[in-house]
Amino acid sequence: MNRNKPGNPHSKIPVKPLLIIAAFIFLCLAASAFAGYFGDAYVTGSIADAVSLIPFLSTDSSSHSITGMIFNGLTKFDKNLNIIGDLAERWDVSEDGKEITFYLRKNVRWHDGMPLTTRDIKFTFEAILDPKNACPYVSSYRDIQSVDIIDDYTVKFTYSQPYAPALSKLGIEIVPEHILKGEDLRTSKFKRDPLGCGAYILEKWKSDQYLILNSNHDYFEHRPYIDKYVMRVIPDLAVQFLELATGGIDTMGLTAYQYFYRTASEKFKSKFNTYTYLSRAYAYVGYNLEDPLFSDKRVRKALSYAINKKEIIDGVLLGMGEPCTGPFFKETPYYSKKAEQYKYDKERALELLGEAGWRDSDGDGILDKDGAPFKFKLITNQGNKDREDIATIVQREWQELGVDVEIQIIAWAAFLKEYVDKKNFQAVILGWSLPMDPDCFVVWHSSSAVEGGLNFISFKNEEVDALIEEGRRTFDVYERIRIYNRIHEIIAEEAPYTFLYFPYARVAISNRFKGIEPAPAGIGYNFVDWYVDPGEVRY
Amino acid sequence: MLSYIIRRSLLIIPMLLGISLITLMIMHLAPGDPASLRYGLNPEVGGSARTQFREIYGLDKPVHVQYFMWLKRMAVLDFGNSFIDDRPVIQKIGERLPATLLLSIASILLIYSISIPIGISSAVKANSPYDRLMTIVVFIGYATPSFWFALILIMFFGVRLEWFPISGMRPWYVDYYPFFASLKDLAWRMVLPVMATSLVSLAGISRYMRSGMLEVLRQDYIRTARAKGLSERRVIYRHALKNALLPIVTIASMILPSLIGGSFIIETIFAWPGMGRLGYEAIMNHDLPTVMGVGIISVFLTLLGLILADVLYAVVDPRIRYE
Repeated sequence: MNRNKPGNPHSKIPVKPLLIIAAFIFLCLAASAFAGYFGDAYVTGSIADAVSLIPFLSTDSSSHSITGMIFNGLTKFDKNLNIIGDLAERWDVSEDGKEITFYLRKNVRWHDGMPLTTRDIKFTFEAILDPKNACPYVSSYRDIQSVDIIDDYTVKFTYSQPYAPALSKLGIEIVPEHILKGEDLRTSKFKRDPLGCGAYILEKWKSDQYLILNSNHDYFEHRPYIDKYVMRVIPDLAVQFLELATGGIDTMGLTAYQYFYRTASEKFKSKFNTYTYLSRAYAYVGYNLEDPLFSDKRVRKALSYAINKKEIIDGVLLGMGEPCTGPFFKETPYYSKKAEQYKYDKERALELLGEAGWRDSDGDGILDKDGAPFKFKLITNQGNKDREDIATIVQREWQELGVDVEIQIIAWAAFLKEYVDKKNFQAVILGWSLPMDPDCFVVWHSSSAVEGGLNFISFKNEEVDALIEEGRRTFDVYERIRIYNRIHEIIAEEAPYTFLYFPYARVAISNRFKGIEPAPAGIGYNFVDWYVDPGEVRY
Repeated sequence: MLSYIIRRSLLIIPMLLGISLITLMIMHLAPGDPASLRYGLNPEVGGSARTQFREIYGLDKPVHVQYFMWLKRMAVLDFGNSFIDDRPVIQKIGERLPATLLLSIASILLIYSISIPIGISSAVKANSPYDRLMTIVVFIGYATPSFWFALILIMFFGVRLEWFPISGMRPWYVDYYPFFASLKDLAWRMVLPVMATSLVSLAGISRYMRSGMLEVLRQDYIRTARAKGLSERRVIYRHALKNALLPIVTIASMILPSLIGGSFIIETIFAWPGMGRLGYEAIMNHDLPTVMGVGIISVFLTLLGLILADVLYAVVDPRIRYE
């Protein structure tokens, strides 16, 4: 393996004091000039193989973790989740918000040495919009009227209406025009043999086995310190953990149980560092608002008050989570701190149910109204242990109120098609991963409450609709914070979901990797700066 | 004989048609569809993506139309492209087949080389403590869940003793190995998966062998052989074994489909890139062309195995003749 280790601090030094001092100064200088050392490989495990390395055609996380290493987009998020330029040095948004002009970095080259220009940008977005490529993300780009090349490094996007999420959506990875022009993207060899401009270059991909990336020495930020990035496909998580413990892989996301009980040994601690950061995903209980049982807001609020979020976080995640009160990421300012928290309060819950007319009039321990008992079905999908555990805890908590809940756990394919898509359920336990932009049109706007839409609980609120539309038109960050805080507060007040928690991601990484700094964006954002000390290089 | 083989071979065609139709029907009756499995509950994917997906792959057409489209392609041996990654199904199968064949051939060799001697010796010493012990041993193997046994093997030989690698068929740094080291590494990595697959199958073959042998040992010609004063060794290995092997030979031809089918459980645990995982993932994602492709090939091999069994039976047993 090709290694380059500048400035080795352990090299033999002559004993003469002056020389020692000189050498010391020299080494300090060397160390400040080189933040890290080149070499070694970072081996990850994945339960599934990548599918396609054309960034805007794949939807699976394995493919995305690889395309993120090979390609870059116009914009990206920094460690504090602010939008910054990636391929673009800067950009201007016109007064009416309909035109965005990007000015590209001039030093970016494709892996074959060709310069990256605005022709590639235009090509990529035209490919995304081309119906024959069936890009799954096309709905985020539909308002693009034209992409105009002003010169090699200036490109103007014109939208039919202002669309604030554009700045993050235009961060989708760019593909090379000179390679792909005239190719049928769906069947092109490019998806197995891509050429990008990013920090790493694909060396080899063996289906269902492994995928090897080599560092790009000419990467425009700087040459990544770690020479190889390897993704091994290990479908079984128990086996993946054994591979981690014996050094077969260098990193793995841990379950809460593994984090507390399997990694506590001195032997494990001597080899690994563990990092935790809040995941961009929350779990919730959703109530079908078309069901007469849940049409009364007081009932939904009562059910929310009766759920002890702390108990769920302790029971399901062994405490590794943060309570959630609304549909935005807790690490961003869009998440409102003033929204209704629904602190566990059984008395308040009973009071609200009483106001709504639910009482135990026949003394059987179950609340009833007009002779009908308060009972319903709570569904979730099979194969997610956390959700099954939540269901059990929530069932008991509601039972204490006098609500009879039946849990039904359904295989994923049927769960989606027969229950969620058709809105054929009463209450459901699910989770959302949050996109980078706070725009929540597809989940909370009333027009998404159609069959197969993601607003399957049929939440319809005119004020929220108007705010969502306003949020899409508004580029000003402070204005957007106000809008999304308000949406958060209304949704919390309406209680169509009981928001449960954001789990912490728990990652173990071999401690030979240095330079890792957990931030709201997670840990992967500065991968090109990670390095391994020369004495600890493994591969 | 020849006309029998031809007749049997021609029967394969209607069988394949029927089975492929049933497979397609079952996949359509199963809840869920490939578009919602692929794009469902993803807030970044719009609803139009699902419609577009269905149009591109012809899933918006009625089932019988889809079946005829598939038949038309099959007529020129085109298995179609996978829904998951748009790659030709035959190419995906081609990538996984060698890994599965390697594992299954090695385990079959191991199974036969252990269970035939067990069967013979148990029959010769029928009802002795040795026979009982062997019965218990092979049935414990039969009753052991293979995923559990595989994990125990990994824990003991991979993690505790560190004798064998835990998972994977080839290490990612295989290119840095010289040829023989690479070969040795492969053999080393096969040990645990082969052990895990073989344990379960010991019972079947050894019991067949034992009962076949017992049956033969009761025959008059064995008594005659003994009466001639032949040594017990000669009686068993020259006279009895040949005849007792008959059922084993025919069973052997039945393993053809399992040769390429692979085991999803073993392949998942040992991260082995084989057919079992391909088939399972195709079914879970409703990847029709891949499911049909894997299905058709296994059905074809099963039918071929049946013919082969008939032919072999006639070859090894002169009493059998086909008209």
